[in-house]
Amino acid sequence: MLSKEQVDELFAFCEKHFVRHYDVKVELVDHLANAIEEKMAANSAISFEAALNKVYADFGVLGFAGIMSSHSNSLGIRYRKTRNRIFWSYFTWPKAAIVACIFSGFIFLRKTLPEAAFSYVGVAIFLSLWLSELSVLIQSYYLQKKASQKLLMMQASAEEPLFVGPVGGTFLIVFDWAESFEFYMRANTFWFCIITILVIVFFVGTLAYRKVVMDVYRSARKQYPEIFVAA
Amino acid sequence: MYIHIMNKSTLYKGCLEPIVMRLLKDNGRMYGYQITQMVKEITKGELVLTEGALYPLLHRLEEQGVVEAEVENIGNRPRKYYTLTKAGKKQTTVYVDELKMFIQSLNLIVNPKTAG
Repeated sequence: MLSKEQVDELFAFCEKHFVRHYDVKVELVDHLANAIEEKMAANSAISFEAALNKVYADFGVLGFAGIMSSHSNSLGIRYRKTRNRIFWSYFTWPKAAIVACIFSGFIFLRKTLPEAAFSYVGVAIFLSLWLSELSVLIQSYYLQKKASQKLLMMQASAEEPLFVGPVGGTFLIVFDWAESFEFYMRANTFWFCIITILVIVFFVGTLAYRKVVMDVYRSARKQYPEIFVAA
Repeated sequence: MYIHIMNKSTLYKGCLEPIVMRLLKDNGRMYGYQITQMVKEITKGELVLTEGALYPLLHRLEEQGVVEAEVENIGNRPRKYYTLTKAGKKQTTVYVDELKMFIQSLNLIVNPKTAG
């Protein structure tokens, strides 16, 4: 079996060949180590460095690049599917009942509260959406910082957040903030429902995004405890 | 006249997924290098599963929910083991049956005397 120093050399070798993520390095280092051990067992005259060069040559012209790229793509697809599954679960029974109640609650408040009072509710809704997305982004950033090395699984889980940007940004571009808000408050029932549905969609999108990020973080802590800084 | 010489690896290319899944089903959990060595051993060197083919395949199977991975420390380094999920075990049975039918059909073409 290789010594700890030789294994550390393999980690450094991967880093030198542009593999920056610890989870990818772990798999590659184990593969390299196994292959080197086999070569050194078959030929006691071969040095560690010579065996490493032979083993690396087996990875082909692209080296580790192909494996990195495919791993990154696979993780991206996997987490996107998980996020979509969580997202759509909120629009199917039984969670759809909760979403329907929230939607009905907004309509009820708008119809029963005086405009001035409902305006506070409206501000609270938009502010909550914006703050929830911001907090998820900040949380995702700090969770990644807890690991002493980058993890591809955590990076991939935090990609493609669903922002209010497309909706909120459209309003801000077409109208200014005050006019946008007034539009929402004074919109007829149809437009009010549409905007409320969009707000709910973005809330749910944020929830799905956060769930994936947190689940992947917990999985990463379980699989690679050695790189997580003690709290 | 142009003669195309078929590369052996082209023949095996479509079978890699069922081969790897069958190995995982038969052997429980395995790590990457172990899979490459076992394939080489069983086929007596006829099929060499390269790293460039194996790891993208394993990652794709993970993405599909067919295999799951766990990392374990083996002393001087961590090691990633792959196991079939419940869905993966079912899928393996389907794949192996499809492969058997494929081999039978191929046999009919390659050895027409045995047909009928």
